[in-house]
Amino acid sequence: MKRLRIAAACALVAVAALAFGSPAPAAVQMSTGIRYVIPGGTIADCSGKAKTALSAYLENPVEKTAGGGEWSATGPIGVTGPATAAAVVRCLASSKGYAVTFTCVVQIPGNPYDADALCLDIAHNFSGKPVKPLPTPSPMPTGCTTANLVGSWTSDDKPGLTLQMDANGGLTDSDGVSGNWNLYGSTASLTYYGTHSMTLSPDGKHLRGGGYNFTRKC
Amino acid sequence: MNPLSRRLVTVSAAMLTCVALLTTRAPAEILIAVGDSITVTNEPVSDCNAKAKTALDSVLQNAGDNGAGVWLAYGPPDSSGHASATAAIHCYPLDNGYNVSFTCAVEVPPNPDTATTLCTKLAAAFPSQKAALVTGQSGW
Repeated sequence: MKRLRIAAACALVAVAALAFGSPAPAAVQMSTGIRYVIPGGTIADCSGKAKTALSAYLENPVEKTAGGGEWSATGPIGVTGPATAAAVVRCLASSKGYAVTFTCVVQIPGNPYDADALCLDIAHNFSGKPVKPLPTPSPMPTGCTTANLVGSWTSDDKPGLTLQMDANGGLTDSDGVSGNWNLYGSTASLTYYGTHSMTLSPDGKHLRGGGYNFTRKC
Repeated sequence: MNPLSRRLVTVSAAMLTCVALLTTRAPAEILIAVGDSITVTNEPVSDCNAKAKTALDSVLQNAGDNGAGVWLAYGPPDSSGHASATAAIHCYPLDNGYNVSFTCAVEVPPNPDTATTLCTKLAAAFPSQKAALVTGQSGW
C-alpha cells in the first residue's frame, strides 16, 4: 500500500512537471516566392552574391555541396544563442543563365522582423537594390529590470536558497534543482516545485507570492 | 536515522530529481535544411505542382501555392495555434521537364523531427520521384 502511495505521488509530480514545465509557445514563419531569373550569369556569380547577401543578415553561410550553388545560413547576425532566423538561397543553372530562389524562416515571437522582411532584404542585397534596414534585436536588459527576471535571486525568508534565472526562461536553485520562469507585465510565473504566481515589484528588485519572497542582486 | 525517515529522504530526493529533470527547458532553436534538388525529365511542371501538394499535405497540412510553382505548408498547430514545422517545395519549369527542390525548417523543441528528417520525409512522399528523376542540376 505504501509503495502504491509513493508511486502515485511520483506520478503526480511527473505529470505536474510535464504540464507546467513545457516550453513557451513559439512558431516558425516561412517566406517563399522571391525568384530572379538572371540571363547570362553563371552559378559561380550567383554563389558569390548569395554568400554576400546571406552574410549581411545571418551568420556562417554554407554551401550544401561545393560548387552546387545551394546556400544556407542561420542567425541573426551578431546575436549569440539559439538561431531565431535562417535562410536558403538556391542558384539553379540554365542554358541561358541562372535562376535564384530565396526562402527565409524566422521564429516568432523572438525575432524583431518577419520572414518576408528578411527575404526581401536578402534578395535586394543579392540584386543590388536598395534594402530597408532590419530592426536589430534589442540587447537583453540586465540588472533590476522589469522586462525580465534574469539574474541572481535570494530568498528573503528561506536561508541559503538562491535562484539563478537565465535569459532563456530557465532557473536553477542553489541545490541544482531547475525550473522555468515567465513574466507577463508584473505578473511572474515560476515553475519550481509546482507553479507559483508571483508579482514583480515596480523597481524590478522583489518577487513575491506563491509562498516565496525573493530579492534580486543588482 | 530511523527507517521511516530514511525512506522519506529517499522519496523526497527521487521527487526532486524528477522535478529537476522534467522541468528543464532547452531553448527553442530554428533548424533549416536544404533538401534535395531534383531534375525530372519529360514531365510537365504541372506534374510537379500536383506532387508537391500531395507530398506537403501528407507530411504537413494545408499546402498552398503562390501561383508560380512555390508550395508552402505548415505542421499542425499546437493548442495555442503555433506550428513548429514548415516546408516549401519549389517547382521550376525546364525545357524538357522541371526542377523540384525541398526546403524545410523546424523549431526544436517542441518539434520532434529535425529539418533534415522533415525534408527526407517530404522527398519520400513526392510520388514516383524515384522512377522519374535524374538527380542534380544537370541538363538545364
